Amino acid sequence: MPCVLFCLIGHLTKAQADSASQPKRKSLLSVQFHIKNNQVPYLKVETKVKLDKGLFAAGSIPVSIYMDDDLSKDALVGQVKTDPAGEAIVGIPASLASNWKVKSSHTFFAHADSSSTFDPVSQEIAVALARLKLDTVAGGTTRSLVATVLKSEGESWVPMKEVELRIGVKRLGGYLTVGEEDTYTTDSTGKVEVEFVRENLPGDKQGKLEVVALVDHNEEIGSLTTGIVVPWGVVHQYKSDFGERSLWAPPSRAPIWLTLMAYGCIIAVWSMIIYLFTRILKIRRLGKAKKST
Amino acid sequence: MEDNITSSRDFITGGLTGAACGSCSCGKNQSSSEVEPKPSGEKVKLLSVNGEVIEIDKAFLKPVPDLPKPSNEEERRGIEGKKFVMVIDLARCKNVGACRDSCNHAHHLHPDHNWIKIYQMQDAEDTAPYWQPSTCMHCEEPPCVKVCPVDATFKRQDGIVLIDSDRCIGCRFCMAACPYSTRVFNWEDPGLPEEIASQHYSCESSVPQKKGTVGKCDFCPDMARKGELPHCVSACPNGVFFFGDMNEDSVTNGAETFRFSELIRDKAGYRLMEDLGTKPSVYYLPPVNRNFPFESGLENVKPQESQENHH
Amino acid sequence: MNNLSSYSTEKITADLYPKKFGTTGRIWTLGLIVICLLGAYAYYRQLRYGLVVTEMRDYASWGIYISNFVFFVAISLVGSLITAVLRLANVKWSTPLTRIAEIIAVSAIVFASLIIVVDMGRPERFTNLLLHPRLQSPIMWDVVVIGTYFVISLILLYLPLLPDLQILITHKNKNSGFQNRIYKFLGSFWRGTPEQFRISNRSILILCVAIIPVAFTIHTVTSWLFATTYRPGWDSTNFGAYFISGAFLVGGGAVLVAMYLFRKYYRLENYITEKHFDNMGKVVVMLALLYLYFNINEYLVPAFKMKKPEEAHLNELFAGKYALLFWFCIIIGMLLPMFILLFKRGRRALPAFIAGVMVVVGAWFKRYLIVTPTLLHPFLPMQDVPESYKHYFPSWEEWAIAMGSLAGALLIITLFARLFPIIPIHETVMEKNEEKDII
Repeated sequence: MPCVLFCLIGHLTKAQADSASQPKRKSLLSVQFHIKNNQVPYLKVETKVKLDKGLFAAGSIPVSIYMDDDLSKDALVGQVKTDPAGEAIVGIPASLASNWKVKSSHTFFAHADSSSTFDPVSQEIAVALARLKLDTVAGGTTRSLVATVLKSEGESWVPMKEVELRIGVKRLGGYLTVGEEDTYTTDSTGKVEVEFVRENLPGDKQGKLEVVALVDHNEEIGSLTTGIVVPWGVVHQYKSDFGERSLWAPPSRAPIWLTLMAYGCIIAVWSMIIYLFTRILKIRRLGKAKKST
Repeated sequence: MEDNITSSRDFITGGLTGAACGSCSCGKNQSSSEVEPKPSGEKVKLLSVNGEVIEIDKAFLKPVPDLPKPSNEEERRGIEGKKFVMVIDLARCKNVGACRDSCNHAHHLHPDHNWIKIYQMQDAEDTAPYWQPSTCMHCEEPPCVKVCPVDATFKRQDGIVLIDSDRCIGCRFCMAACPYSTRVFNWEDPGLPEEIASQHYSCESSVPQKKGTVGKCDFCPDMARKGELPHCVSACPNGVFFFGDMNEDSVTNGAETFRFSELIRDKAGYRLMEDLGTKPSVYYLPPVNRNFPFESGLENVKPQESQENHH
Repeated sequence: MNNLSSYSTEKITADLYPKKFGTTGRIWTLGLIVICLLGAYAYYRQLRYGLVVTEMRDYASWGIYISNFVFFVAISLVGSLITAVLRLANVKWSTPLTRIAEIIAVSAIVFASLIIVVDMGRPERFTNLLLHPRLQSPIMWDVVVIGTYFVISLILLYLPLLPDLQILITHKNKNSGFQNRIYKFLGSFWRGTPEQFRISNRSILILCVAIIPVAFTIHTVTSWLFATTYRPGWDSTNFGAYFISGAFLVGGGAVLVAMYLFRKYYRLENYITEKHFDNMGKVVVMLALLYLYFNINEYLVPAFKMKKPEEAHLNELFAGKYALLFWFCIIIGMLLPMFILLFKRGRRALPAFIAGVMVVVGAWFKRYLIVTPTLLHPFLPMQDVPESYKHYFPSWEEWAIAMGSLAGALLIITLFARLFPIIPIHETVMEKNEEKDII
C-alpha cells in the first residue's frame, strides 16, 4: 500500500509539569498539493500524532500556510483548523493572484500551532505547476487513451517525462485499471498511451464510464487528477427485487398467501369470539328483563 | 505498512473538487447517487491554475463535506442503484485484528463486543487451519429480517441489512435466527461519553448503541454515501478486505481494485454456509498460497475478559 | 360412579363452597407472595441495569425466561384438553376437573405473556408490536394466538361459572362484603332460566370445539420460534407435534398435582375420588407414551445421521455436559411416572400425585434443554468473545424472576379457589340428579 510521505520536524515534548503521565508523542504535519481536472489547485493539510499505540488523527489544530514568502502576511494562503479527522483543505485565495502568475513553481510553508495535544510543527513543499491531460485516441481498431503531462515553464507548457501515473475507471472507493499495468511512466514527449482492455464493464444508464488519470504525490508537481467520460461501458442492467413481496420484506409487502392465511384465521376465530360476546350480552339482557317482570 | 490509518486515498468525490466542477463546465464527476453537500451560501474567491478567479461555496472546502442527514425513510430505502458486496481474501489474513479494532472504535461499541470476529477455522481433522474474519453477511434472504416482529431490522435496496435501535424491542429472535453468530446484544448500557450517547441515532452509522437493543456490522453505509470505504477495509494492513458495488463489477481494498467477477473466478471465491440458502453478500477467497503461515497469527490470540460494570 | 346420589343438594353446596384459608392456606399464600416480591425486586434490578443482571450473553441469548415461557404455554393447553376434549367426548368423570384445568390454563397464559415482556430488552417499546407489526414474524403469530387463546379460555372459565355465581350470591351470609360485590358484578344477571341455559350451553359447546384448533395453533406457533431457525436441535420438522404432545403431558401432570392438593386441603374426597385418579392416571399414561414416541423421533433420527452441526449437540445431551439433566428429564420426567401410573396401585391419589410432580418438574427442565444448549452450539466457533459468553447458568435474578412467575401463577390459582368453587357446584348437583333419576 502506498505510504504517506510525512516529514518529521516535530519536537518531542518531555519533562513538563506532569511528565509522569505524558506519553511520548510525535506530532506530524503533512501538506499535499492537488489539482483536479486542471481547474482549481488546493492544498490538503493533515495533522496526526504518533503515540506508542499507533498513528492517530489530531483534530482542531490551527495551521497557517504561506506561499513563497514564509510568515509574510501578504503571502498568507490561509489559516485553517483541521477537522476531527485531522484534515483541512485550503485553496489559493484571489488575493495572491499576482504572486501566483509570477512564477511557474511555488513553495508552500505550513505551520501547525501547538495545543495541549499537539506540538508546533512546520512543513514546506515545493511544487511546479503542471497539467495532466487525458484524451481518447481517435481512429484505430482498439480503444486507447493517451495521458499527457505538461510542466509550466514561463509562458509555455513543456512535456514532462518519467512521471509515474495510473489510469483507471472510477469505481466505488477506488479506480479499476484500464490497461494491463498498474502504473505507467510518461515518455520523452510526456505522453502515455494505454489500451482500454476492460470488456463489458458496467457503466451508467447510458453505458458511459468515467476514466481518470492520476499522478500520485509526485515530488515535483504534487498530485494531479484528470477525468473524462467515455462511452466504453455496457448499459447498467440492474434488476432489484426490492419492492417484491417476500418473507423478509417490510410489513406492507408480506407474501399474499401469508396475508390471506393469517387474516383468514384471525377473522374466522375472532368472529366467533365476538359472536360469543353477543351471546353473553343476550344472557345478561334476559336476566335483567326477567327481574323487571 | 506500519501506519494504522493512511490518508493516501484521496477520494475525489465530495470536497473542494466536486464544487469546482459544480461551478464550472468540466462535466459532472460525482455519480448521481451520491449526495451533494448543502451549499452554505457563503462564497470564497479562489484562483484557478491559470490565475483566474473563481467563486466557490465554502461548504465544499471541507475534506469531509457536511452531507444532509438522510431521513429514517431514506435510511430504510438505501442508496439507489448500488448493490454492495465484500470479498475477504483468506490468503492474506494473519489475525492482526486492525479491522476489528477500527470497527469497534468507529462505532463506539461496548468493550465486550466485536462486530468483526476473527475465527480460527479448520474445516476437517486433516485440513490446514486458517484465519477467517467474519462480518455480517448482509444476506439476500436474511433470516434475521424474516423473524423481526417490529421491522426493526430491515433489508435495503442496496443490499445492506440495518438495525433501527429506536424501534428494536430486544426480543433477540434475530440473534437466534442468524446462523453466522454475527449479532451482539447490548446487555447493559454501552458506556458512551455523553456527547455521543445524546446524539440522534442514525441507522446508517449505528451510533449511539443503546441498552437493550441488538447491534451488528452495518457495511458502513454512511461511508459509502461519501464514496469512502468501510473502516475495516481501510484499516487492514494486509489488504484482506475488498469492498465494492456489484453493479459496477468492482471491489477494492483501497490500494488494489479488481473486477469482482474476475476475482471470484480466478481465485475460486465462495460464500459461507451456502447450503442454508441465505445468499450472503460476503465472498471468501480460499487460503491458497498464503502470505503468512497460520502460526504467525497465534501471538495475537488472548482470552478476553468481560469488561461489564458489576452491580 | 361418585355415589353422590345419596347426597343432598345442600350438602354438595356446602362441601364445594369456597372456604376461608386455614393456617396452611395462609402460610402457602404468604410464601407465594414473598417469592413474587423477590421476583419483583429482581425485575427492578433488571430494569435498572439491563439484562446484564442475567447470565444470558450473546450466545446463550435465550435462557430460562424463554424456557419458562414455553413451559407456561405448554401447561396452558391443559384447559383445552380437560375442558374441551373430554367434554366433547362426553366423559362425565372429568366434570370436577374442568374448572381446575381452566384456571391453570388462564393463569399460565397470563404469566406466559408477562415472562415474555420480562425477557424483552426494551419492555417499554411493547407498543411497537401493535404499531409496526410484521406479519411475517413467528413472534407476531405467537402474540396473536396467545391473545386469542387467553380470551377463549377466559370465556370458557366464565360461562360455566355463571350458575355457580348464582348459588354464591344466594348464600350472601357466608361471604364477606368484598366477595358479594364481586359475585354480583360478575353474575347477578344469571337467573338460571331454560333460555339462559340454552344459550350458555350452546356457547360452551362452540368454545369447546373452537378451542382445540386454537390450542394446537398456540403451541405449534411457539415451537416455530425455534423450528424456523437453522440451528441444530431446533431445525426439526417434528417440533409442532413434539411440543403439543409434551404440552398435553405436562398439563395432565399438572392436573394430577392440582387434583391431589385441592382434594387434600379442601376435603373433597367425595368429589375427587380414587376413580378420578384412576382415569386421569390412564390419560397421563397415554400422553406419556405419545410424548415418548415423539422424543424417540426427535433424538434417535438425527443421532443416526450425526450431521456435523448436530454431532456436538447430541453428544452433549446423551453423554456430555447435559447428560445428567437429559436423562433426568427422560427417566424422572417421563418413564418413571408412566411406569407408576401403569399399575392400578399407582393410580391412587398419593402415587399419582408424586407421578404428577415428577412430570411437571421434568417438563420444566426439559424446556430448558430445548432452549439453551442449542444456542451454545453455534455453527461458527465461539471465539473473539469474553470467556463468560461461552457458558450459561442462570443468575439469582433470573431464578427469582422465574420462580416469581411460577409463584404468581400459583397465586392466581390459589386466590381463584378462595373466591370461587374449584369444583363446579351446579354441574355436580346436575349429575347427582341425573344419577338419581337413573337409579
